Formats: sequence, structure tokens, C-alpha cells
Amino acid sequence: MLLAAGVIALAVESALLANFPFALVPALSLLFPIAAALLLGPLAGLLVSAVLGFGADMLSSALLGQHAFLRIAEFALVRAAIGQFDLVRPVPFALFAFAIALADAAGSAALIQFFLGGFAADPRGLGAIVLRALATAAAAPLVLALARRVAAWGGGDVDVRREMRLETKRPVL
Amino acid sequence: MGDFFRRIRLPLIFAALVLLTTFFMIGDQRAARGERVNAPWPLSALLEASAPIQRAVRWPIEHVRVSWAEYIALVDVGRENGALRARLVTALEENLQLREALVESGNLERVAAMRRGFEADLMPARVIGQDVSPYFRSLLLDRGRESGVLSGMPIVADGGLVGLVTATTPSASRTMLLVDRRAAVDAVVERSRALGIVRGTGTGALEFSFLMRGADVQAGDALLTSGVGGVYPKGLRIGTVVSVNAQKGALVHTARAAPSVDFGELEIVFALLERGPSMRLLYEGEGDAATDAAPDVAGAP
Repeated sequence: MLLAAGVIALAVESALLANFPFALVPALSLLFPIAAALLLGPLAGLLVSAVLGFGADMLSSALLGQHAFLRIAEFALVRAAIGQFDLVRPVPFALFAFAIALADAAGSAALIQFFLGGFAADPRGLGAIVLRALATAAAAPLVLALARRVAAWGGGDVDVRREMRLETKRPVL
Repeated sequence: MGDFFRRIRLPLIFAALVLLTTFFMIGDQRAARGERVNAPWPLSALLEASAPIQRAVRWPIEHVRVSWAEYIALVDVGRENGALRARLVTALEENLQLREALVESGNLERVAAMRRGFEADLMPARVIGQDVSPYFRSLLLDRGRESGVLSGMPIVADGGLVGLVTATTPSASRTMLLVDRRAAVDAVVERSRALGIVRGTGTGALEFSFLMRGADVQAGDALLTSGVGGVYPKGLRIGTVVSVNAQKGALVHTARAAPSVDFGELEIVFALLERGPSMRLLYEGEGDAATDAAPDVAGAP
């Protein structure tokens, strides 16, 4: 169910981008995979993140696999962060989403530079990316609540609790 | 043994997915240099599935916009404007074709041949979605193979060239915009006939590369498609030169150009329902794959 909701969120984001400024549209294509990594089990979360990443690739002229690669990396970040932060609460999750949105933009830039070359940072674009990260952070708690309902509706186990804060040597995966 | 595999299952799948996405990126990067790869069908199914959702999202937004434009602001002007814009596209492009031909030789026979060459049908399409990446520029259109829109067909608007169809499903298609960092178009300066290549920068501006020897390029010059690459018909308006970067001793110089189309305001575009010779060759014998990697539109070697 969360996968289907993620695909719908992708399409909604793409449609909103056609009607509203880029900086004002939250990155739903980023938030749903994060929510999946948080709410689902590790394997299901990983697969949902990867599939939604490929979905984002289809709605973009980016390199095929670029978004999927980033979503997989972000899945690992989420799994690592679960043990250290209380991501289930709105404010920590919003802050985490803000950081991940910026990291995602930086990761995209790095992949473009690596595979296509000639990437030049555009100051106006940078401002829009920061604003969009803020919009993403603002929408994050709502998306998490929605994802939780969808996952619960689909019969998934969504009882996410903060895990052992001090267990720093626990494997990420 | 079974317990061991259960423990390493997740890291194994993680590593496999990382490798898979990396291979896809390498394959797509090669496609950008002319070697095409087709995406697997489940991914094209995602594109097809997203089209009705995007239409549904667009519907209320458009409804409010149309209501405002037609009933509150100026009654009936919006509708009339839509029809006139469609006629204007054809008239403008025909005009450019004729001007092109006249500038070249003044030979009426050639003018007639060019007109015939441009007599491709136009299919109007609504913009239903935009690229979800901040670094790439593409549009999702509500017309696909069922409407005759195929990969490799040029997309135009009343302002000029918009881009090229790079993926299609039965009812939707994806268009790589002229300003995308992977887009390139063979161009000619309308005034001086200097040839070059216009490339997208991914930021909304264009870069025009041209051989300096004998070339006369100035700010304010109009850039048109030259038709050299066999991808776009000749004479479509691309943009206007904003500034020329003359580097002493360099063989190839560049100029900054502004596109003639406002990509942020596009609502309705038109697909030219005929592929150029290069695109016909590229897609020959393959049918029209549901999703095609972006071809090198300039036909670079």
C-alpha cells in the first residue's frame, strides 16, 4: 500500500511542479521513501525505496537509476538515524527531512558531475533548493502521518519506536 | 548455513541494488552518446500509471485557472486565445521556413519544397507534469502513441522549439526540454548564417557553440534550427543571443542565449507528427519502445 501511495505521491509532485514554483513544492518523491524506510521492515523499506526511486527516474530526464541510487543511500541513512534520533516525532522528522533534502540535492549534483560532467552550481538554483528543502521539512510530519495510516491500512506493522540510543555499533542494515 | 544467508540477505540485496542502479546510470550515460538502451517495461508502466493521476491533480487547478480567465477576467478571451495560438504556431513556423528559404536563394521552387517539408500535422498536448529533479528539465504530456506521438518527434509552442519526445506510453509522453543539460540542437544564426550547436545548461539558459573562423555572432541575433542534424525541421525559432564569450585563440567560441519559449508558463504544446531523418533511422525497426533513453539530439559523433 505504501508503494502505491508513493507512486501516487510521485505523480502528484510532478503535476504540482507543472503549476507551482519549484521552491514551493515539497519533495514528496523523497518523503515517501524515507517514510517507508522508517515504517516498514528493513527489506520491504529497501525495496519500496528503490522502486520509488526508479519511479522518480521515469518522471525525469535524469540518468536512469540516479534517483533509485540516491533513495537506496537515503534508506541506509534513515536506518542509521533510527537508532540515534526520535524520528517518529514531528520536529525531529522535519529536521531530518530538511537535511536529507539538501543531501539529496548534493548527491544528485555529484552524480551528474561524475557521469555527465560540466555541472555548474547556479546560485539562484541553490536558493530554490534550500527553499524546497524547507517546504519538504514543513510537509514531512504530514506525509509521515499519512504514510503511517496507509501502512496501517495495508496491514503493515507500523509500530516504530526509537531504538537503543547508545547502541552505536549496531550494524546499519 | 541457512541462518548465515538470512543474516547477509539484506546487505546482499542492498549491494545488488546499488550495483544495478550504477549499471543503469552507466548504460544511460552511454545512451546519451548515441548508444541507446531501453528501460525495462515495469518502469514504463509507472509512467503510464502516473498520467491519469497527474490529469486528476491538474484538473481542479486548471479549472480554477480557466474559470478565472474565462468568466471573471475576460469572458471568452481565453478560449479564443487558445484557438489563435494554435493557428499562430503554424503561421509563425511557415513564415520562418519561407524566410529561411528566401534568405538562402530566393528560389521559389526551393521555397515550395520547404513548405511541403514542413507540412507535418500538429498534435496539441497538455503539460500534465514536470521533471521531479532540480537539475533536469523535462515535461510530461497527456498525449502518447495512441495520438501518434512517438519518441524522436519535435515539440513546439507558439514561441518556438520546446524539445524532443524521449519516452512514450499509449496515453502519455515525456519530452526533454531544450534547456535540459542533455539537450543539443544544430542551430544557425538567422542574420549571418553562422552554424553551431545550441546546448541546454540545465539552468534555463542556452549555450551556443560555434566555430569562430568567419562567424558573425552578436547579442540580439536570433537562433533557428539549421536542420543539419536531421532531428528538427529547419527554421524553428530556438532563442536569442544574449552575450558572446570571445576567448582569444580558441577555435570554438560560445555565446549565451535565452530560449524563445517561456518554459515555466507552458500549458499547451504541439507535437510535430513526423520524425526527422535521423530519428527515423534511430527508431527504425524497433517500433516505438515505451521508454527510450534520451538520444543525442545533435547527432554528435
